[in-house]
Amino acid sequence: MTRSALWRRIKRDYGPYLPLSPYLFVVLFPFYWMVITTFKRDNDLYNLTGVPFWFKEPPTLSHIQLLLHDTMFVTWLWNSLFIGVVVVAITLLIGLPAAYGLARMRFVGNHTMSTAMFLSYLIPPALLFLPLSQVVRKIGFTDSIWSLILVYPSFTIPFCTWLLMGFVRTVPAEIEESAQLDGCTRFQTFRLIVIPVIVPGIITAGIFAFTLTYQEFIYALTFVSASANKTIAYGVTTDLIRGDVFYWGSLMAGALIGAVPVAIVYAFSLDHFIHGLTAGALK
Amino acid sequence: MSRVSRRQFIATTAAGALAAPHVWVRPAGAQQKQLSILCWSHFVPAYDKWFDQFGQEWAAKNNIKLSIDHIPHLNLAAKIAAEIATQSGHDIVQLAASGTEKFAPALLDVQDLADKLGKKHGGWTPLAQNYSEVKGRYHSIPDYFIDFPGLYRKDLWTEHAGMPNGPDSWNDLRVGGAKLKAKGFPIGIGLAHHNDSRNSWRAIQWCHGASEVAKDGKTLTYNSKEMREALKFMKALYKETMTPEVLAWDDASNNRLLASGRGSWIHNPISAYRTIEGQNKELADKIHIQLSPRGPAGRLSFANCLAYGITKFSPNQDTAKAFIEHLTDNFKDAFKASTGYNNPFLKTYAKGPLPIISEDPKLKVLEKSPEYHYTIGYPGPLTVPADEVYQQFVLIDAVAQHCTDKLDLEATIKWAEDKLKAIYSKFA
Repeated sequence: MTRSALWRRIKRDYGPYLPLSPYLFVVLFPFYWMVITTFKRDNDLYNLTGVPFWFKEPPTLSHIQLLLHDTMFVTWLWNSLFIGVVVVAITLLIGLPAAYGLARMRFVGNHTMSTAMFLSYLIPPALLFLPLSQVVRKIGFTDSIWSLILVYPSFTIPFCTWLLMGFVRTVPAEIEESAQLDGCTRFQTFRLIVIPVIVPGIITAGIFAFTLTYQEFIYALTFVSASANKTIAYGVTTDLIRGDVFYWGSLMAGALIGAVPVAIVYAFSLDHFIHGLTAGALK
Repeated sequence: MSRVSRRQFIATTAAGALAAPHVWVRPAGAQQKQLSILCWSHFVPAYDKWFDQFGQEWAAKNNIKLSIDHIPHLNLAAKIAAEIATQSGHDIVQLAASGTEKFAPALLDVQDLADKLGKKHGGWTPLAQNYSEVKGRYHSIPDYFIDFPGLYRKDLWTEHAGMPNGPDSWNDLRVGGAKLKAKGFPIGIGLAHHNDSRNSWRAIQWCHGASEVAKDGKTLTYNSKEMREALKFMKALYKETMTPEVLAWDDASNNRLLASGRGSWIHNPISAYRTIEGQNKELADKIHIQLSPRGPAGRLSFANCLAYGITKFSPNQDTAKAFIEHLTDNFKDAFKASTGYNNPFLKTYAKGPLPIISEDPKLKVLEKSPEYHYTIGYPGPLTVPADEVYQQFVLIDAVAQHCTDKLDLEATIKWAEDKLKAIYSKFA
């Protein structure tokens, strides 16, 4: 193959990826930095001579050991996953019928309710945590992961309902009418016709709800104190940042391991997720 | 089998939902007393371990169920505010850097305990009184303060600046620091939104005889000849001895500068030294501790104070008092566990000798810390507006704008004075 032919082939096969490379660099560099910091020795981390992007001393597992043995990281990870899954379930259980009702049914105040639902998502947690603290205390969930399971839907439900309303509206009304003509009740139409059609939307809403919950900090800080009840975002910063002493290696290890469940969720539902996102865009 | 109608289903579900929170009740505890403590994640992890064990041993001996929760110091105030708003939470809350003045209405008057402890241990230092007294009554019990000495590279200061004992005065720091910067070893004092910056600047202005407020805690004194001198000095210090990175620093940045081997001097608690000691023994050997530098008005430095308050909503106030008393009585053990980090508020302890620092020639200068450390609002009391000035970084914003030529001297004075007036007028 001649040189020019080879160059043409490279251009043809890899050219389309070229515009993506700056984006990939920006997106992947933090992960690279997390990985390398996780395994660098402290001396290596603070050594400003030479190139900082690779190891100047042999790698170490000491940061991971500190994270796993000297903190309650595994418990925090489990708490985050448990809370995330339960909150997603609650969000979808409430958000799906709500989205269907707001998108499909005509009743007085429908439009106002839709707007109010969206606006409620815009209220910052810094304003809400005090009244919510009183609710949590009265129910008796103080310093328990159930307080977070109770509170997190306050921001996931409005957002996901709003998101799902868009998906419900993409379902042609004629399909539902046909089903009702064939004898389906409203609920059966919702369950058997609408839900299967908007599965990508449900997955998208679920992923958003999960990630919003997984990264939340201020409610966790307010409602939970005991180490055994902390979430990953809260626990890692609590135990690994001590005033002006940052345990960089262990912090990065915590962030890296903490990112794995989210990466898995995205990886397994990527097709649905993209379909869900683009469905709204193409309508 | 009877069918459940939709109406019945909705009624049952609604009733269940309403009842559920009431069914979810904690099991009634036995007659065992309880106590919960909210405190920060100490800079020295070993201290937290000691504190938790110390507490549990005391609790076991007294048949008390004790829980101790540690959170980052920057989140303490928000957590305490939330607990006060809901009237539920910890029995004892740690007040870091400030808080007694802010939360006093929700904290128990502990004058009786303060008197008892003062009598037992030689009396409280003026700093303790300043930190924990509100309207002449103690609303928290001072535990310890974190000092701000100077940490310097003895090898570099000897070789390049001819000052083997480090810079004794701020002017020495300027002269020697300029030489060291020229050799590639800048000094590091933050000029950004974080604790160290606002603390170090206070030390510098006080040493020049300047302050933002008078002894009465009300009269603003920012617009003064001394403040102009302090600002002029800081600008020269920044330009001659530092690099612009200090404008974007956080609390860990000066530690990193020293740990990298590039920094020649930082103004910081000994946590930076202790961390390096654990990571790079060779470098740690070259780092020495000195008194915070003196200025034309004397030697004054900033103290980050910590105290324990007992919440008014606590049902365990007597138990809380008993624990704080036990902790204060064992201050020397606590001091040892903190590796010399927690400085005393009680005169008997302050007189020394103290474990670790009195035995280590390198750290012995820290024995003098209680003599020259002051806190927010100095020379006045720690008031709510003084704390707001601190929390809003007003002073450090002013000095950073002056150092970077954004504001000239008079514009800096006016800018800061306007901000101070706006804050103090809210509480007049």
